[in-house]
Amino acid sequence: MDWIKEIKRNDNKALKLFYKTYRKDVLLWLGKNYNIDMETGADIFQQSIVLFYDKVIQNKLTDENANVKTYIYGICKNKALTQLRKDKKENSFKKEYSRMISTKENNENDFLEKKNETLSEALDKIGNPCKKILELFYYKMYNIEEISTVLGYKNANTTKTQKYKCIKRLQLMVLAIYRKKI
Amino acid sequence: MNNESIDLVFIDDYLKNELNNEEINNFEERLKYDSDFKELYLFIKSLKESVRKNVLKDKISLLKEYELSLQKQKLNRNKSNNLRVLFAVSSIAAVFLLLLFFVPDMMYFKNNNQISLEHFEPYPAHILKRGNQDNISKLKEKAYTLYAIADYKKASPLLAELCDSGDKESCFYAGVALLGDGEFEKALTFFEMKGLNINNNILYWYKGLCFWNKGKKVKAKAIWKEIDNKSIYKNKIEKILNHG
Repeated sequence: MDWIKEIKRNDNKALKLFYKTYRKDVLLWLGKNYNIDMETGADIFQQSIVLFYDKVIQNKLTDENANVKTYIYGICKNKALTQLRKDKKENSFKKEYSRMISTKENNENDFLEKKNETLSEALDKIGNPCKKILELFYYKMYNIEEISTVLGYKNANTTKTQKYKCIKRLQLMVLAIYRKKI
Repeated sequence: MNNESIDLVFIDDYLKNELNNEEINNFEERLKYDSDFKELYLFIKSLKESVRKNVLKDKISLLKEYELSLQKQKLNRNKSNNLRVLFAVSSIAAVFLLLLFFVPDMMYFKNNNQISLEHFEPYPAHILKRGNQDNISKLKEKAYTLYAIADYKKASPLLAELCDSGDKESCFYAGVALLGDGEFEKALTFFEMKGLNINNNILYWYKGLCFWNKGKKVKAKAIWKEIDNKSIYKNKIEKILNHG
């Protein structure tokens, strides 16, 4: 099966099928090679698939350069090693102490992080069709004409206006959420 | 189209790398002096990343839910497998219980015969005087010797022959030998002969045993009822009846 085409075409359905196809083998492989339990293994596998999905959607992975199975195993391997390092770190008091210090230093980034959190919250709340329009335009890189076709708008101008209204609405929502937080 | 929506298209095109060099220069220049434009640009830039994060977050949730549903399916499969095992175990248990009910019954039926035959005790035979040379005496000696060693198969025809020759006592023994040999019907013909000159209690006991072994238990019980309460056979009968 050409997973890349299938994921681009069927999205959620293809992702589920992909997950089901490789799940058992990957979880057993993670358990056998990295001593990772089923629950953590499932988390790693899910994150790896989503990373793979991201690459596919952003056209960073094409049919020509990918043996999908090898690619997924590669991501899982890296994530498993990261997980093992993380476990090791968490067991070390010294490392834990230095992590606490660096957290203090990172406080400057908190502002930006909170800002993004607010935006993300607003996106969750905005609902469709705005959510879908923004997703198609800014993530899946559809052009306005394609969005009009997918969502059934009369013409490109209607879609463009709708998109503009959505962004204005989102700005207001971000402001409202931000004010509430303060 | 208002100015802001035109700016939005400009920003979108910049982020999608769809501007030529001149337009890019204009765009970057404008960022320097137009704070509203810069604010909108930063917002759209953040929005782009937030949309991406939200989509990926949704995909993770989708896969987590799917994992749960797979586990649920597996659980249900295990549950139905367990049910199948439970059904198999129950069936085996049911068969076992049926056997437990029926086998003792069958055993009982078997035992019933055994009880009767266990309780079959040959009536004590004559103490024979040896040395008599006439044919009847020789026949009698042989018949009762066979009877004494419980070889009823060989003893019964000889005793029947003695009975035919008019030895009423041998008629009774012929019946007992036939009973011991399992020939209940034939045994009865001897027990029902008239003038057997034997105690009725004894006669009823052996007749009853014949019917009991034939499976005619009601008839056997009716016959045994005739036995005096003081008779030793009453205890034996009670044992048989209680067991049944």
